[in-house]
Parts: sequence; structure tokens; C-alpha cells
Amino acid sequence: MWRRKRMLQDLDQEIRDHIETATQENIDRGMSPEEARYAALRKFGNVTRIKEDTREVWSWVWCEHLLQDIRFGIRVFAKSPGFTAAAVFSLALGIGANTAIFSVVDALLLRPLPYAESDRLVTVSECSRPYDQSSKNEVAPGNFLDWRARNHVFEQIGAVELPGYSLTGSDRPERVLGAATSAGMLKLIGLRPALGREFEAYDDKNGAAPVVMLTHALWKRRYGSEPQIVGKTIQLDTRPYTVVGVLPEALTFPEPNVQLWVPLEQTIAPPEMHWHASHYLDVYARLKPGVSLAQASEDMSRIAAQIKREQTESNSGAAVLVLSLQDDLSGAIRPALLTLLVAVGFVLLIACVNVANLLLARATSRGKELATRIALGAGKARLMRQMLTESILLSFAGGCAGLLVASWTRRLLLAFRPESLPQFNVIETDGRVLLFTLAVCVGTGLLFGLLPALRSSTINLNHAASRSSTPGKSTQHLRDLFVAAEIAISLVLLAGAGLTIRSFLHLRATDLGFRSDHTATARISIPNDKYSKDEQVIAFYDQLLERIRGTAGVESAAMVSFLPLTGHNFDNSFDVVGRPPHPPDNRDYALVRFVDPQYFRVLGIPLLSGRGIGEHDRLGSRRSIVLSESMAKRHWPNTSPIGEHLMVYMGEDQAPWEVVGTVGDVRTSIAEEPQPTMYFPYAQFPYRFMVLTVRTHGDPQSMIETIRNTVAILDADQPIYQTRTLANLIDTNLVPWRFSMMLLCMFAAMALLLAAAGIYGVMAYLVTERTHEVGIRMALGAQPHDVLRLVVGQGAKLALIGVISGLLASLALTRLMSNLLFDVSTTDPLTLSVVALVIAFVVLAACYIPARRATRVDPMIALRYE
Amino acid sequence: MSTKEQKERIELLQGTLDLLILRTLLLGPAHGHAIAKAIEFRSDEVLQVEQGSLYPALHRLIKRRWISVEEGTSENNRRAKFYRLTTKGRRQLALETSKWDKLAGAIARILRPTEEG
Repeated sequence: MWRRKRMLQDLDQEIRDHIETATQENIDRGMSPEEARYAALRKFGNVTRIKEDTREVWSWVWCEHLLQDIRFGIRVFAKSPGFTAAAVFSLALGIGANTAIFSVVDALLLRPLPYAESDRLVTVSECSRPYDQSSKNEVAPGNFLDWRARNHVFEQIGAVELPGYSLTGSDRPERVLGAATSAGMLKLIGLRPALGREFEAYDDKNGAAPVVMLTHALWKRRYGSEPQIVGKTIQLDTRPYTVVGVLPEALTFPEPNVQLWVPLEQTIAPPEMHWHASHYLDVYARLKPGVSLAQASEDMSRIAAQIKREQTESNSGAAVLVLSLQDDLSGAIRPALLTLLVAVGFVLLIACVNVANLLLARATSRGKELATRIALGAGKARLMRQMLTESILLSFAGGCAGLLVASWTRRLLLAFRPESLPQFNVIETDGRVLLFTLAVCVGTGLLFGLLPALRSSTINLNHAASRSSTPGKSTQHLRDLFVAAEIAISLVLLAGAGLTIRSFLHLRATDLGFRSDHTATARISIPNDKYSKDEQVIAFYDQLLERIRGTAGVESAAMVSFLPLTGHNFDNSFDVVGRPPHPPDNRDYALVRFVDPQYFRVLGIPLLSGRGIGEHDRLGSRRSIVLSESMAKRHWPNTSPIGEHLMVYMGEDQAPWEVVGTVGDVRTSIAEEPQPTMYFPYAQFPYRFMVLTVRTHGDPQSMIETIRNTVAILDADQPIYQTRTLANLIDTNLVPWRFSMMLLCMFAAMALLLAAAGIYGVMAYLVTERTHEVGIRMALGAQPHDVLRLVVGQGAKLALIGVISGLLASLALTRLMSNLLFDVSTTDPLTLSVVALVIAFVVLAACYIPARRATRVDPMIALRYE
Repeated sequence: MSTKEQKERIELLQGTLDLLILRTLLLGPAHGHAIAKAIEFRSDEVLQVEQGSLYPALHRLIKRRWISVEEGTSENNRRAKFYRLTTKGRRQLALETSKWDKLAGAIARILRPTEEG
């Protein structure tokens, strides 16, 4: 437009110059100025016509026609605000939901990670079954060393562990999560430190000078972004560490809440570094250029086979899994996102069908207008273009409103997001997302506009120009098909949502095996340097528990090494004394928990036989353990385990334990069956990381500050961390499930709303169309309920077709979401029948209102109509 | 349709004018007024071109990429648009010229048959 204006101005200027030059020449030849100007103008010709002719040469006719179409479209839409609002609303929901979900999918699955050549980054894990992601395990340091030494496929390979540290040395002790990383880890992922240097090979050794890198966030928060920080010393677990660098800003590797990095091999004792039996490292690697994942897998499998031959004593026959880092990070949420993507696709489809239906109806009532235009010489192509321009115009209006819907949906997504996904923070409406929206707009515009446009261009002139504006039979069929499709699609969505609701209800109703009300928890860890002897650790725990139990508002208090549902666990292998011992690579494993005598009472875990842990189970007395029910059942199916002895292989500790009792099972993860567990008295095997579990009379949240203060009285340098209530912990576990449930429900509700509106619209239109017919019927003696049956019957027929095809489709499609479900079959008959009933009810309700209107038709008026 | 006929007629006329413009620009770039004057002058003022009709023709030639346009300063120090023959235009001129020669020859033969025989 702007260019066109500019060209017009230029042309004006040029013509003016031409005439002036000619005038001047005439003057030079001796004419009077006035005469000269006339002569020049005469010679030039008709200025206006010449301008027009020139403009025609530019041939923006096409563009002008488009503008004309758009202007006309806007005028048409403005004249029928009801239609326009309905269409734009439908499209806004559909396009908005798609934009929101796409922005998440883009950020999490499509966009490369923010590291250099991130497609070459992989994670390497052990797994007990080759190529089976679900059997993935962390890596033993010995295996990592062998992999590093023997592989031919990695440019660089490094390992990470996440130890916690007490950061002291200023006003307030603080518990921070550290990352113990191999030298050159930052280079491996393709980044540079913001300040200073990263760890070199000489740092990454046991006994090297203790060094630390601060994350940008910690540097800013605790050290005020001091530029001179490099070279200074900070206190971790009361030992001095020299700061050698600051990590780049906004780094989420390896975990978003890591606060500082230390060199890996400084944290692990040299003999331990060669162990193949305890698995706790995360291994990352950068593929050599040109090496594929498959090649890397092959090379690693070769090494794993070698290690298996060499380490018959300790290695548990591990295979190796090489995954791209991106897949590994997004693996957990991928099924949910893909399901949601399908869901919003369906919502958009319903929106399209709705609008197509509206357009079809309108095309019929616009029949006269269109016929007139054809009669006046409008070509078919021109007419189709007009119709398509209108539908794309509609979809753009829908797209603009959809961006609003998208921002609300995104807010909702963020509210329900699973915590474990750091990339959620970068979700935004950027150019890529807008481009996607634009493409969706054009695509939907064509999709819902094409059929009505094709129909309108085949209008029969005679038919349309005559009085009738009833649609042809094929249009009616098309509309019926649309309605049935809408019913079917929304049924699929509702079925999906229904299944997630059911599994969520099942999850919430699952007996976890413990009481979660009125319980506050806080983690504490006892540094080696300050409490070097076991007796010191036990004494500290004893004193702490005694003080807390004496605090007002506390009903009872206990300690455990790992709370259920936290994901923190460890297991150990064991043999039953008196039975033939298993070979080392084929031993049974069970979870290990260290507890104090009150633990079972505080968590409400029932004692099933024998006794629990007693006050007298202390260092020096007989070593006693308590087993969980599933452990007892598995190894003593018909007898009682009490009095039996277990050999538990925990490091250097090699004496047997006597089973003194059994307790109820506890789930360690909300959706998994309870695992066999062994409970050890903490006073016989002091563990340095414990969770304080406090049952309160009042609000447990308010107890946390009391706990913090009580700990500080005993040891001012001792922070507590991971403070939360048990109820809160359970809630956190439900978040991923709630995420997919809430969103699927929201989209299903959208779909139902759109479908109901669409069906209502079609039925209402149908009734208006058949007013004449109804009038005749009533004049011939039909009763209102006959009319009602006529209209509702039509709806019921469509509902039946839609419901049946929807049920078939959902049987096929819900299978895709089986890993989002818990304890519910994808063909759950209850869910499917409830959903079918809901749909049928909504459809009939949508038909009933127009049907009622039909019964009130006055035969006389109906007959005079037209 | 009627427009088609009209177009053909116009095209013949336009074609002639186009040819004259191309021929004029063969001598070097010129602005609109100068082209008009050159055509008049070189035809010994026999061809009285309606000067305005030059402009649609110039724009048509630009669109076909036979000539290009650039900013310049005219002899009386005005900012003006200068039109320049492109390579493509040069080729077209040769083609049109030979076509014109043939046409003119043919018409001449028909109008003056005796000269031949």
C-alpha cells in the first residue's frame, strides 16, 4: 500500500516536471507564460487519463480485488454479528488451545537444548535389559571409569553426582544441593564459565586442593555478584573451598536447583571410585562428530560385555543405554504432551466443523445474493475466492482472539506443571509460536471454508433465484455428517478425560500404607568432620528427638532415612542365613530404611507380627531388623520370618541381622506396588542423612520453624532442608497426574461446549427451515408431541451414529494414552458408558430447545411465510 | 469480450511507441521530456506524439524489464528520473526493428505493386 502511494507521488512529480520543462521551453521560444503553459498541457494530453493508464500498467488489480473481498467480507460479517461471534468464538477456543500446547511442545520436545551442538549430547545409563528404558539405572563409578577409558565414540564423557552441602561461614547456615562433576563438564555440554575457569583434570582427583564453582544464582544471591569472588574461600561442611569460577547464567544443568559444583573425584574415596556394585552416577557424553546413537550404543554394549566378564563378583550384568539428552530430559512428559496435542487437534477439528456448518447454512440463505452475482457475470473462481477470503478472514479473527485464549491456557499449564521440568520456564509466545498460529489460521480457514465455497460455486441459478432458499439434499447430508462427526470426536475426548479422572480418583484412593495428616518433615544431614564417631551421631539424633517431643504442639516425632514418595531410596542385596547363598550377580534386593523406635507409630504403619524397633536396639545389643509384609511374604510365603537371620551386604558391614517383627507395606512411589523393605534401628546403624517426621496437634506447616529453631539450639551450624508436610509431599506426587487430567478435562469440556453449540445451531436452523413443513403438518392435525418427535428423532438418529462411531474411535485411540492411566483399563466400560450417556444427553438437550420452538409454530403464519 | 479487441488495437499503437522509445534510449539514458522531444525531433516533427502517452508506455517497458529507471539530475539541475535501455531491451529492439522492417516492406509491396514488376 505504502509503495503504491509512493509510486503515485513519483508519477505526479514526473508529469509536473515534464510540463514545467515544456512550458519553460515555450517561454524561451518567446511565448507568454500563460500561453506557454497551455501549449505544453495541450501537447501532453489528458493528465488524469494518463495517470490512470499508467496505474493500470502497474496491475495491482489482483491486490485490489483482494482488498475489495476483504472489505466486503468485513461488511458481511458486521451485518450478522451473531454468526460472526459464534464462528470467531469457536475458532478462538480451537486455535488458542493449539497455540498454547504447541508452545509447550515446541519448548520441550522440538527446540534444541540451549547448548552448543546439542544434538551430539547424550546420557549414558546402565540398564538391566538391553534397550529397555524402564530398566534404566544410575552408573557405578567403576563402570564409568571403564567406559571413559575404552570407548571409541565419545569426544568427551563425564559423570555427575548430586551431593548436599551445608554452606556455612556467614550469618545463616544453608543447605545447598551441589553437583559433583567430572573435569571439563561445562565444555562437554558446550558452555563457558561466566567468570574464572572450570575444573581441570588436576582438580578432579582425590586429595587435590578443594575447589568450587558457584552457580550464577548463588553468586548473585549470597555473594552480591561480587566480581572478585574468584580466588576467595567459602565453607562447605565446615571445610574451606576455593572458588575458581562462576557458572553461566540460567544454567539448568544437571538440575535447576543445584547451587554449586565441585570436582567429582574429590568427593569419592579412591577405592570407591573403582567399585562396580553401587550405582549412583549420572553419565553425560558428547558424541564424536558423525557418530550416530546406534553406533554409540553398539560400542558401549561391547564394553559392557567386557566388564561383565571381568567383574563377575560385583557387576549385575548391566547393559548400556545411550539416549539423546533431549529425549532423556523430556521422556517423562512426552506421552502426556502428545496426548494433549491430539486432544487440542480434536478441539480445533470440532471448531472447524462448527464453522463449516455455520458457513453452509449461511451459503444457503445467501443463495439469492450469490445467484445475483453469478447472473451479473461473476466467475466461479471469483466467487470461490470471495468465499475463501471470508473464511480466512474469520479464522484470522479467531486466531487473534485465540492468542488471548492461549495466554490463559498457558497460565493454567504453568499452574499445573510438573516441577521436574525446568524448560517450562522458557515457554513464551515467540516468533515460532506465532508462525505456528498463523499457519493454523490459514489451514483452518481453508479447511472449513473449502467445502462451503465449492458448494456455493455450483449454485443452480434458476433454483436459487426462485423463491425457495432450502438447501439441496446433499447439503443436508453433509450437515448431518458434520454433526455426527462432532459427536464422535467429542466422545473420544470425553472418554480420554474420563479415563484420566478415574485413574486420578484411583490414585487418590490408593492406600499408601501410612497416615499423611498433621505431619511435618525436615531433612538433616550430619557432617563427618564434626561428628566423626557413630556414638556422636546417635547422641545428636537422640537429643534432637527428645527436645522436639518436648515441644508444645508436638504429638510424636520420629526419624527415618528416606521418606516414602520422595524418590530417595536405596536398596541392598541380602541372603537368608541357612539357605544356599546366591551368586553375587543374582542376589535378591530390598529397600533399606533406618528408623527410630517411634517411626511406625508416627506414620501409622501397622505392626503385623513380632515387635517393632525397640529403645533397647542400640549399638552393642543384638542386631534386629523389621521387615515389610511384602518382603516377609515373598521370602517366607508359608512361615513366619521372625527369628530368622539375614545377611545384608552393606559395604564392610558383614554381620547377620535377626528379624524381630513385620509391619504393613508402604508405597515408595504413588503408582507402583510396594517394594520389599527392611527397617534397621538407626541406633545400630547410624545413617548421616535423616528425615525428621513430626506429628502435630495443629497445623504442621507452622511446626517447621519450630523444628529449625530446635536444631539450631543443638548445633547452630546445622541447617534443615526439604521442609514440607506429608500431605504436601503426596500432592507433589499427584502433580503430573493432575496435569494431564486437568488439561484433558479442560479440552474435553471445550469440545463438548463447541459440539453442543454446533448441534444446537444446526438443529435450530433445521427447524427454521422446516417451519413451512411443520405448519402444514400441524394444519393437517399433527400434535405438538409429533412435531417434537420429528425434530428430536432426527437429532437422536445423529446422536446414535455419532456415539457408536465415537466409541469405536475411542477404543482405538485411548490405547495411545495407556501410560497416563493408573489402574484403569483403556476400555473401561463404566467410563465409556457414562461418557456416551453424557454426550447423548447433551445432544438431545441441544435438539430439544429448537424442537420446542417448532411445536409453537402457528400453522397460519407458517403457511403464509414466504 | 469487447476489451480484448480494444487491447489488440491499442497494442499495435503501443508497440510502435515502445519501439520508438527503445530506439531513442539506444543513444543513452534520458528523462521523459527528453525522450518525447527526441522522438519529435528525429522524425522531423512528423510524428506528433501525445507526450502524456509516453508515461504508460515507459511503465510498461519497465515492467517487461526492457528499460530500467534511475534517479539523476536533468540539464536544468532538477532531480529527474532517467530511463535506460537494459540488455534485454536491446535484444528486444533488434527483434522489433527487424519485425518492423518486414512489416513495412510487406505493406509497401502491397501498396506499390508496380514498383516490383
